[in-house]
Amino acid sequence: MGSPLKKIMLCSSEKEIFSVEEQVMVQHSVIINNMIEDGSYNYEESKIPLDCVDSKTLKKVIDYCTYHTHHHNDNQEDLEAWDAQFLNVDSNGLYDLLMAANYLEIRNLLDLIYRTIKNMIKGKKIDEIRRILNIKDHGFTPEEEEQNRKEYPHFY
Amino acid sequence: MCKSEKKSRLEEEDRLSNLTDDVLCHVLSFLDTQSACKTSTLSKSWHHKSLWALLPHVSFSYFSYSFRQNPKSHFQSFNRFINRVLNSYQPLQQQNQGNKRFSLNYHSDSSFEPNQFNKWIRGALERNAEEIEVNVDLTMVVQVPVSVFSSVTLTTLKLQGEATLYSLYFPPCLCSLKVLSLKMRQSDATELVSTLLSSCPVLEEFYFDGFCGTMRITAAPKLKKVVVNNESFMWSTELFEIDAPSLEYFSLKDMDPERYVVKNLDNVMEAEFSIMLDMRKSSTGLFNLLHGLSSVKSLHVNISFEGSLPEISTDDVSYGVKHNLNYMNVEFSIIVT
Repeated sequence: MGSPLKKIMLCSSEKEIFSVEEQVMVQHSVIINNMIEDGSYNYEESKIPLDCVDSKTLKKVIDYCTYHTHHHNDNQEDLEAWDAQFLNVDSNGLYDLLMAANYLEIRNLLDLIYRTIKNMIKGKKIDEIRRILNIKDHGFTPEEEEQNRKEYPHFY
Repeated sequence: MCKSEKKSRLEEEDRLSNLTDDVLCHVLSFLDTQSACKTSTLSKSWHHKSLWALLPHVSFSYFSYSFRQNPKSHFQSFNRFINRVLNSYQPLQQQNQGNKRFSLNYHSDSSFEPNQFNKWIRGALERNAEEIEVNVDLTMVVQVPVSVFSSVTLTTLKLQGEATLYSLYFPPCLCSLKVLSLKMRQSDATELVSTLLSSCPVLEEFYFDGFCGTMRITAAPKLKKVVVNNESFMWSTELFEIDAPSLEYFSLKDMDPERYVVKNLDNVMEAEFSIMLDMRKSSTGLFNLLHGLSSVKSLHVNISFEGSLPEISTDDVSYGVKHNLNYMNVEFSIIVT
């Protein structure tokens, strides 16, 4: 565990530099924790390059880790409400976050995203899921679509 | 250039659908089978993937199944759906990868067909299920297929509701079973439960909820957790026998049995008892049970009486278990009739 006020530098795909409390990232990201622990991060010079994470997404990821570091004693309901607000993004935004969380191995964020995607599907009608997932062209012929609707009327 | 731009724009449209199969399977594994199947009608690419068929768990719940106006047709379509899913599984599954968990929540009226039910469970067993969980509505009497009791792959078996264990014509053998949970209202279950317990050599957890005249939890060398909720308040349990050298957690809710036989409870760390004493009888049995818990660290005892308060004190309860105890809570209550 790093000392609380030490800062580390993260570099997004647009080469924008983000300075974050070390402790915040170490607590959440398995990858960063490993880098700090094995000494491969140099506080004077290193910037951790995150070539597959854009600035907008990286900022959100840092927001998530910062909030959860400083509010981990809050009651569960408040945290869940914050998480819900945090993940109120479109499906592409969710995809970017998933990729970033996967790359940085932020397990609680990954879990939260998985559950959010699950809720996009559970209990919803096909047309609604298509809209949420932004599926504009389902690729079925009109006959196939008709057949599906006939076979599984309760899905639609 | 133009082509790749067009391609990336198309990908933009529906990027979640293009996640790797591993990630999507993980997401779908949080869903019941019906919701997972639903994704196959989302688009051609989801249809081709048929990811639901790769999921290790199948779960069907009558209540989460989209409600239709007509109960009869709802029921039939639910049955058809289960049959279709289970039939499609076999060819799609890789050979060594069966359904690890089969869970069924069922509620039905007179149109229930026991043959179907038996076929599904047998099907799950043929696919080497490791966990079977069946919840049936209390209005149904269901016979569980006997092949359940000779499965070598089953590690968890949960039967809830009016599931009936018919006499076992051959000795059961559940050589891999670790968790057994039975919730039943069957007055003649006594011997069956005892027989079942003695045929699970590696059983670690046992949960029982229901009526039982005699409860015999013996020959269970690996048993770590026992939770028995015996609701036979109408008539007293004749015998409660327990011999479990590895037991760590023991919870018992019962009317004071006529007789306790207690052996080898030296490893119990935590115990919770809720016992209703019959003052016409001697209550020394209960104290024998308590005194058998020589290593218990946390003890919660609730003793209720009908009528007047007998001469029992907290010291009587803790006598013999004191030296390891960190936590003890004793409650006495009187039931006014």
